[in-house]
Amino acid sequence: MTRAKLPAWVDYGLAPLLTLAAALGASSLAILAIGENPWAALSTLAGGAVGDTSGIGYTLYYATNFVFAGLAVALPFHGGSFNIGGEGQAYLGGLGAALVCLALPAASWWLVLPLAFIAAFAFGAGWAFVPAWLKATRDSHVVITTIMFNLIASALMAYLLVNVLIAPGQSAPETVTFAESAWLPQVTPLLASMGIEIGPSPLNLSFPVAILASFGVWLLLWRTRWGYEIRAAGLNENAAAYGGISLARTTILSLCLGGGLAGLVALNEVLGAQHRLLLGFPGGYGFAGIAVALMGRNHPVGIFLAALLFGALYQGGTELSFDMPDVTREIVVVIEGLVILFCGALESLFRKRLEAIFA
Amino acid sequence: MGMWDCMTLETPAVAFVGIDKRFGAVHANRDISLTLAKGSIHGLIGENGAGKSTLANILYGYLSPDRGEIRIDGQPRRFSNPSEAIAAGIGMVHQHFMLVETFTVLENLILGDGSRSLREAKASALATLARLAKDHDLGVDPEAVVATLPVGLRQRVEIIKALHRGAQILILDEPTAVLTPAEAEGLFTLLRALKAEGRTVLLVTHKLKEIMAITDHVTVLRQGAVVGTVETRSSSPAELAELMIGRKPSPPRRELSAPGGAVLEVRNLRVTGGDGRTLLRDASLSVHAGEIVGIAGVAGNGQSELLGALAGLLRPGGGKVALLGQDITRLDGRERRGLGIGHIPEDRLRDGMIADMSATETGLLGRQHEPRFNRPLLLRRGFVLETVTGWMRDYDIRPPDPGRASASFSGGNQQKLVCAREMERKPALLLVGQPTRGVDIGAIEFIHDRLLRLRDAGAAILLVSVELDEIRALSDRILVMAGGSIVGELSPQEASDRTLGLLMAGMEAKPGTEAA
Amino acid sequence: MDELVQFVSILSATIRLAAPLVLAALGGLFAERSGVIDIAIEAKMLAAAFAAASAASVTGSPWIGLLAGIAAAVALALIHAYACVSHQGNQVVSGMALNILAAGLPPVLATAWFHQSGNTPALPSEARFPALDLPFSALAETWLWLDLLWNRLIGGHNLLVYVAAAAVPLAAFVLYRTRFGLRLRAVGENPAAVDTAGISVVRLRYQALIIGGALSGVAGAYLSIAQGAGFTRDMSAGRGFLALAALIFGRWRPVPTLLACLLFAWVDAIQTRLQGVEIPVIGFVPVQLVSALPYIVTVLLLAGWVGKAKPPRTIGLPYGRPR
Ligand SMILES: Nc1ncnc2c1ncn2[C@@H]1O[C@H](COP(=O)(O)OP(=O)(O)O)[C@@H](O)[C@H]1O
Ligand SMILES: [Mg+2]
Repeated sequence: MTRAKLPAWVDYGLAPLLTLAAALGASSLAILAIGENPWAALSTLAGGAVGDTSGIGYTLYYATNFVFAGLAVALPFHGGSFNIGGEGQAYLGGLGAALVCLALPAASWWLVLPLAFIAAFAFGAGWAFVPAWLKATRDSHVVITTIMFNLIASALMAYLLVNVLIAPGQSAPETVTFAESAWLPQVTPLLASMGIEIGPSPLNLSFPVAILASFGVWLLLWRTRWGYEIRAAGLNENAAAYGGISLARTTILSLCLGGGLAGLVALNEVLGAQHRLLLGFPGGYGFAGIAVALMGRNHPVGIFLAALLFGALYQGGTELSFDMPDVTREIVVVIEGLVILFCGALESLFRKRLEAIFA
Repeated sequence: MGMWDCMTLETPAVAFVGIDKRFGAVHANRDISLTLAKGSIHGLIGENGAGKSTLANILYGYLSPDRGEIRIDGQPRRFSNPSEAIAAGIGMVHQHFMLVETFTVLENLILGDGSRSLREAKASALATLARLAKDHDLGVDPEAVVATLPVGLRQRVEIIKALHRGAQILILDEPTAVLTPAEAEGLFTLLRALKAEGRTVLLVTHKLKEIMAITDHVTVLRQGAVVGTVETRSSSPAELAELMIGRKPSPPRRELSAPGGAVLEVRNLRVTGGDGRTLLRDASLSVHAGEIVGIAGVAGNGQSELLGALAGLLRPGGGKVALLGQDITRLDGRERRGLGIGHIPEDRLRDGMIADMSATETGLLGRQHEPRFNRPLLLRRGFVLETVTGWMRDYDIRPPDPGRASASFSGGNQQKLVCAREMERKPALLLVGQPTRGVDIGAIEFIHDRLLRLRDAGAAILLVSVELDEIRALSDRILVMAGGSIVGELSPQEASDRTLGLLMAGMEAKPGTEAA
Repeated sequence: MDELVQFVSILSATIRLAAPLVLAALGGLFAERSGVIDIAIEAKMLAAAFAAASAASVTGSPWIGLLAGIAAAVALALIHAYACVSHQGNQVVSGMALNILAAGLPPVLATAWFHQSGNTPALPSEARFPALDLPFSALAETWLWLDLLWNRLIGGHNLLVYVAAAAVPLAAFVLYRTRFGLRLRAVGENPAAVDTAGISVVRLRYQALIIGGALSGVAGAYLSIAQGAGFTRDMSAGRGFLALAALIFGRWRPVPTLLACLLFAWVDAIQTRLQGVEIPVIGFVPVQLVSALPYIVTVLLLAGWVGKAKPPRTIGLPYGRPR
């Protein structure tokens, strides 16, 4: 069964927008149930996200996380694995980055930052390796094992942060603040030094890294033989085996690369914004990655656009919870779930109608 | 039999009136009208993709027509579900069996029985089984788990299922595809007996011989439309064949081969299934350069395992495989391809192509590592595209659009794409499984011609097919498989239906056969 | 004697911890036997826990709470059915959507309704299912062994524990002895066979998912109005996934699934006791790591022995006739 071909602008533009509209419509119902005015809520949300330079900075800062988290789902998805483990992989990525920064407090930035980058990627990839390996060799259910690894990761990190890495003389479970050489430059001061004044935000150099990562994923998947093998294995296991493609290899490769990308969330959060490792820092970005990937149709360009949108939702959601105390930030999680439902599971509902019109 | 004249006066058991059905862009049934006389065996014949199964499934209520009407005993009926067709006395044996394999025969029989308690349903099914075993020699163990039954018996269960539900009109869709010639003869005996009981049979097939052997009337479909309904007695195979394909079939050109040295040598190859059953038992054979060796046999007798083990897709449980004198037993599929093995798989959609990828990308499958298609890091996409475009021209693949999704090509064009990919590697050994399954006549003739050309160019070809005519037409030597073993070797001249049939049924090894 | 009391109290805790797992896993069993992946057990439990606690808190009746829990879980099951059965959507994706939805919605509603940042108010005891005393409990108390057996191990649990216990034989009966069960097992193996036998695949799967939803709903209500006294954020804590793992480990059969649930519950029961206890050789095991024990066991089980378990043959594959 294949689907009729839709014009690209419908497939990548109109369809996601329709699903977004449906998700926002459904969340309006939730806001109504709370007894607030959905229109007021949504306009507060939009204003918070793009209303001023600081809001835009925050939006892009959140979007950076979503790009990494979305790619972390999309790349394995092309290889036939559903990676639900972004949350734990990001957490471990943070550990990797933090360990480098804590171990080299006096080193200069050109040593620390690349090493921290590599460690974040490697730790994330490593945390994905076990479920990947179990899927490849023992056919374990990767959805369940990656979820378990999220839970195990939070237990492990809680232990490390409470008992081992905690800053001396501190009661909150977090590490010491890193030396400034390990801080990724932020955009606001950078622009200020060039004479451009924008509002404060934690937007930092991870943002261009995220763009590069998107490009890299695209290049890998659609321009190299390894990417071809990953996609072939994801679409038809039998044919892949027939074509001399090792399923174990594509599974492990795609999941580990995905884990590494999830680990890069730490680049933005730990090295770019917080400059120390906090308990629970991935804060749901890993799960949001699922929505971002599905909405972006697992294509880097789509993911980038979906990440911008989710960045706006997050930033706007924060504003919203300030303005309307009865609306908590979790409303964004509700929208996330609805987006996954409409884009991922109920996709055919919209497609059938669109195909009737456009194909 | 002379029943035709009086039958026409009766109300037909089934009348299709102006049935039309599309699947997206495919027009599967075009304004089909035909009638089945009560108590007759009616043949429905046509090439692959002619729309036979679609029409049969519409009668069974499994598919609903876009337009048109079905009349049972003269009454217009609208079946939106098989349950309604079953209630109207229609039974169907599908091309792909509709059995729950983990269930016993009895459980399969009572599955659709909704009107009484389980206990009563069981008792009634057992009674049916006993009656059919007595009356029609249709014995089968009610407690046997279907997965353990050979295909012939599974089909028997399907027939019993239909009869148990009281089918007066029985549809059989390509029933002989899975049977040995002897089993097929047994089936025909049964069908004649059912006809004698007054039941109506719709026999769907693409084999002329069967039509001639058993039907009273035959309707020929071509590209979804009826091109003729005739009385079988007054027709001939040649006339029907011409109706089917719209022209005279051209017999394949055949010259004698001049085999060279051995390319493939297999000794005592053994494959064991996951459940410990031996699926391929000590197969030994050789294929020489410039030779086509055909493997005949009923589907499921170890041919797939033989191909899989030779292609490096299944781990053999023992034995030795050598290619051009080099031991390749331990090599995996990729390494074997590298040494010059090409493979046209039995099921192209499952193994041979990636339906959701473009024709270009399907054209790369299995060849993605060849240096000619790669730069150090990136694929040479332009060159791949150029190559596949060339194949589309040389193999007349239509539409010649390499960017189209592979799935959207017709069966024949998909198969030609797979053939091009595998043949254009100039393999020393080409493994071929069911090369013309689900392929139209034009493509069949084309593929046969290409296989012979490749042979003449010196390739060694191992051909597995369940179509005996195909095996006979192409092979220089014929091996017969039954029960996971190679049970005999014949020359094409010796290979009559009868001899082959006996061997395929595992009844008798041909005297004087050397185990190849 | 102390050790005996200790032992019995671990067993008794095992039973109490197993009950929601058993209910949820049996719910999943119905769904998955019908051929629909049930990755959203967690969502259904969480939603049911919240709905049950909210309703019980407002009405003061555990029964209304239970019904509300079941209704919430069935509602999610119906969304899943609509997406995956009616519209042939991706079952894993739909399940994850529900999981995320159910993680987000309760805190939003709780904050708005109860102004308690993600929780419901603590329930008074009459709004919960109390521990039940079996008949003759006073009599049994006179002899320690009998007291332990009758009042601590068999008795002394809340009603829903007994519901869970009864659900296992009941599920086995339905699955293996009724026409519905026969069809349910068939539809997961070969939906086309069921369809061509004249039985509606869609209806069967909806029925299976509704039963699954109801059982998961009881499991969720158990968490908030029987075991606990009110809803707290993320209170299911991965139990839905443990139930799914138990179901897989139990090879989609009721009794082995029960045993797998008991195993998980036992690990859970001893982990509470392991915290702060010194183990020979290893020494003190940190609390946080001990709490990860059930998850680690799940991974080991899925990796070790389940590799060869055969799921229903067509699980995860949407079914529809060509049109
Ligand atoms: N489910 C389907 N979706 C799209 N096309 C179909 C489907 N089923 C059959 N077809 C197409 O309809 C035509 C008739 O198919 P079928 O009735 O199976 O032919 P036959 O039984 O004569 O070989 C073929 O071209 C086939 O590809
Ligand atoms: Mg057919």
